[in-house]
Amino acid sequence: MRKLNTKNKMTFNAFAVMIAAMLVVFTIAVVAVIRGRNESYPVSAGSTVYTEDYEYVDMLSAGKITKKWDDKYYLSTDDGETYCLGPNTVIYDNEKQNLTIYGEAFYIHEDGIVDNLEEVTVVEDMNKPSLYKLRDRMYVMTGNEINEVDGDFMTDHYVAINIHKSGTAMLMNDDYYINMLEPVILQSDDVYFDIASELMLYDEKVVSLKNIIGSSNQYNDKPLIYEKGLADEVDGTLVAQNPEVITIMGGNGGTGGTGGTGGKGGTGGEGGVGGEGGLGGNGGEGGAGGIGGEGGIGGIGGIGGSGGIGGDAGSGGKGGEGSDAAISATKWISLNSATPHSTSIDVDYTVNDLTNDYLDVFINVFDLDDNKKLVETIHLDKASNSCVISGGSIGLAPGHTYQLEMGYVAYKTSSGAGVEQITVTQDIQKVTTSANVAYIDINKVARSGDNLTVTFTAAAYEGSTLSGATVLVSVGSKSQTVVIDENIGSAGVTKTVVLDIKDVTDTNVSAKYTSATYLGKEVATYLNTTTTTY
Amino acid sequence: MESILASTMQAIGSILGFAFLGAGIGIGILGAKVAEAIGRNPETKSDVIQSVMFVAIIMTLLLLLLFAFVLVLLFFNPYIN
Repeated sequence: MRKLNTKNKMTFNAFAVMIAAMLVVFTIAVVAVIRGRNESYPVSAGSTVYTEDYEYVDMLSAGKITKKWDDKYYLSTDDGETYCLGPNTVIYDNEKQNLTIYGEAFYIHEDGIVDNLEEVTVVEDMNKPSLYKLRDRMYVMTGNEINEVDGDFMTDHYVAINIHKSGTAMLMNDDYYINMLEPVILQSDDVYFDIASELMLYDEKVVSLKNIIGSSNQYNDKPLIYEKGLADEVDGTLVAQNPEVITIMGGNGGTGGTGGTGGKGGTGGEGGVGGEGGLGGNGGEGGAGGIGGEGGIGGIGGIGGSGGIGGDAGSGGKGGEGSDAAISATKWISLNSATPHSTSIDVDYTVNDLTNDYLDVFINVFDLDDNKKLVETIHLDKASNSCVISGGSIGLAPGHTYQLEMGYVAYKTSSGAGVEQITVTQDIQKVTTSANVAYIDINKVARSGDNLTVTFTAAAYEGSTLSGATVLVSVGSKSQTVVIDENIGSAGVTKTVVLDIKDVTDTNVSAKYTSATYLGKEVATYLNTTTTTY
Repeated sequence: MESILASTMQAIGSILGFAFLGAGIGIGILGAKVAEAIGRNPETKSDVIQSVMFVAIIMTLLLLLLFAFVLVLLFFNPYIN
């Protein structure tokens, strides 16, 4: 077997070194990324911690929290115990006297604006009345004093609230771990939180918190804040606003059914018992006493009582339950395809705007062969998914490259800048219109002496019609122009010309449009020359 | 976000699957041709191996670039956050 030369051996070695070096770099990168993701946060002994299943963790020793690949937080104590805290949790550090929210959460402003909180948030002021939504039916309320409206519950600084689907709730903090058996309202200064209905009341404004990432809450009774008269019932409830969270709630329950007809009156009571017989008359005086009179006739029995009043109409049935699955909807638009023709472009697009946030969805058509001139702006029908671009008053030219820019106009709401109207270009596509409008077929070429008879057919492609054209037929230096002043369709127009080809040695016969009008536009420059030989 | 993650994972699966499929077929054909070439002209073994090594280095670089791209999709996906 032949041995490899030195150069080859060196190549092998270099290749091996290169592979090893790259593997090392690759490993270092992976380890660095994973370490960065596994950042841990210390937790002091004595902190108040609850697991994913809301079980209290007795922190006898310190520990640390890490977020693992499944996006859940895990607490590892120095005792060697590990607890899953879920995708987000709240921990009160008794030592540092601070409250930390781990994982994504939502901070609800009094005016309904919602801020997204990322990863780890230390609540700066626990005495400020605030509400945080951690996940579906899980809230944290802070405030100097938090108490139950018309109730006994009272605590301070914070309380974590796990709302049950029935509207009752579990309240948890470093002092309490209790189940409320009835729907309650918590109050912290001017902020009221109707737990069962997930409504926040501040300054006579009611904010529905259910629409932040949706809610599987099944409580459908009249909200307590209205029952107790804390707020006037109005038609609309302010919904929490968050530009990044678009949620479609399940529909409201239907109106209760009409009450049933009152029951029939009860049967009249039995007639009263006849009165007792009258007293016998007094005995006659003197003599033998006369025979005593007969007793009087008993009185007539009383009239039977009136039938009972019909029962009250039954209460209307409960409204149907809204869909409990909150649908996270993403609004988006997409320019799927553009199919060019000679003077039009068929466009397929998709507009997904369930929440009707887009004020306008449009396509701007720019002619790249004409200094990116804006040819047309088409305002799209959001319910449709196709349209035809014809270039409006300017029209599209065959063989031109057009840039289609699809975008939308919408309101953007942010806590800092308020509400502003924005125009966003989302999709861009370039497309070239077809230059194939018409063609010429040379049917027959016959020479007779110095004359050459050329028969040709000028025709347009299927779907196109030229409204007139001029054709130049030439052989060498000899040529003749034929004006066709009639419509040229797909069937074509056949013409014959006779050329004098004396002294012409060239045997190539060519025919081409020197001018042609298509939909009012001059298109001859896009048409090919047809050549044949005789 | 879940749909983006799902699409990303699907894309990564396709990327790696097709890349390794292509690389496997390519290396197989290359190996066969190398064996043929050396069998036919044993005296050119060194030159053939030299060429093969060059191809191997290029392919390795491309695969590493692919891995880097996959890592970017996994951990620094621009469509998430």
